[in-house]
Amino acid sequence: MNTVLKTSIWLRFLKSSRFFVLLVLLPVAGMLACGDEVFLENALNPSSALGISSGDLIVVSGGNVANTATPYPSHQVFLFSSSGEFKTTLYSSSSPSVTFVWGADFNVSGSKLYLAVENPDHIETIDLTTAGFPSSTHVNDANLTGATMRAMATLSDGSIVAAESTQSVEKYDSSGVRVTTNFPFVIAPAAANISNIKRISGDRFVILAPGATDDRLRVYANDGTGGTQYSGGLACNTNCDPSDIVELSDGRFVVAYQTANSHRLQILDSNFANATLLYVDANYINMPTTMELMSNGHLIVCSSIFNSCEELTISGATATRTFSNPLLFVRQPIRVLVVP
Amino acid sequence: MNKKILLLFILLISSYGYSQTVLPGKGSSSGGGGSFGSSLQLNALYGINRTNIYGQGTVPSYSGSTYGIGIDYAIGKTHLNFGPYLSYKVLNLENTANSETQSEFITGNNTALGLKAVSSGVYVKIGYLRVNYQDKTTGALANRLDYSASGFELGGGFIFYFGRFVRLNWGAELNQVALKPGEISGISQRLDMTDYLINASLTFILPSAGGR
Repeated sequence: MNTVLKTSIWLRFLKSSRFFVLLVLLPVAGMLACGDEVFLENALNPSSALGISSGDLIVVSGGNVANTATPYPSHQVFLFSSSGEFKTTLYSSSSPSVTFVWGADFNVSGSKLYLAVENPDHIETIDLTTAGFPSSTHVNDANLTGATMRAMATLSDGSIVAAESTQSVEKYDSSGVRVTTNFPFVIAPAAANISNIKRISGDRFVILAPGATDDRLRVYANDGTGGTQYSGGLACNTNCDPSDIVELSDGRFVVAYQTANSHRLQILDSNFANATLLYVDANYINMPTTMELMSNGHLIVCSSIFNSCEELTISGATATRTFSNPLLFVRQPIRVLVVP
Repeated sequence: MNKKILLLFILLISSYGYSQTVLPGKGSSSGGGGSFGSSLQLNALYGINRTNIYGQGTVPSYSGSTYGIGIDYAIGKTHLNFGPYLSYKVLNLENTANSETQSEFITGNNTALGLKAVSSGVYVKIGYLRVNYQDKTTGALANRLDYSASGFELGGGFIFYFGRFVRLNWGAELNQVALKPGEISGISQRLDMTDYLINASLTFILPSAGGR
């Protein structure tokens, strides 16, 4: 038996210097296997390595005042912590020079930020995972170069919808290729003045257009069908100037209105009905321009009269302003986003 | 620990073990001395780890230590046997990027079930591995990721015999588990966690089993 074993390949291998080398050097090599000095959280989310954390706030500032105006407004995109501390500037309209920046939204993974940029009209993208946050043109389409370009949103299918004029909406797939089925479409009337487009659940989006006498909310499916209009409980059949809409986790919606002497937030049920006053106090929120749900479930509302953003808690159909976070003071906050 | 000292130490002790147990003319028992039989063996292990997580471009790297216990069932002779083993190990790792303001620690345990072969003073083993880890990050990145995953372990080393009932094992292991999206929240693509362990363990042959 021993003779057989001694002559076996197995024993010869075990006795060979090759096995010794294998047994000693492999684990040694393994112990020296170099990794990177990086935290797993940073590896999973490269943006965090650059100081961007989930829950941070991104604010697009400057409104629609052209950069040729005096004094020159701040058309920039800022990054703040969730408690309102300034972190960095992600984008400045001075380089490259554009007239102003308005709509903004993340791509599906949150690694990029898309911006609707006026003159030259295009969709810009900011890479949030690369140091220096380089920007580049994502969509440069002649169909966007008409009237003032303001609103845009990314949809659940990874595409982008953008308002190319006061009433016409274009769609581009995730590669930036123009979609021509059901798009572009036009909302009436001509003076609709689309100011905002927001993605909502159910593979839908909402168009807000405060410029005309009919300011009802217009709800579309991702494929451009639908267009159902909802009055929102105010005199929107005539004029109510909705500026933004946010879907709450329970399916209800909060809509911000800029109507003179209103400056209010209304809460609607999941069918855009049963509107109830959620919050009104023009001493704090005056001319609300943009809203978003924060990572703590609170609502952040920015307004252009005070150039500030307020944090509200929502309980039932009542919102209460929290005093813990005075939050941001930026020139003409036009879009606020929460880093996913 | 200084890597050069560690390497020198590993090479020295491994060379010693190799010369004592395998090389011809050194009195090795490569013929598989002792009578044929079976035995239960209890192990107590301590080792040092180096762990890398691959799959996201950058590779988070960790170092730390492991301790654990195991039980082997060996069939054969003292120097030539084969059988199943079960081990349970607890490990504590810290990210090599840890600083005073930011740190990441992995704690947890792993259980392995496999087969182990001993011949001429060396052993090799392969087993199924199940891990349960908690990954806690402090500082600005504050986050916690709990995960369980499966994989395999490969191991080998040298055995030093001290009488009939005690042995010292000096060896190394490669532990590999896959962290899969869908099974673990916060992960969008598969990650491979590779752990290198250099360990020393004491084996006690249960007297009732005879200590072949």
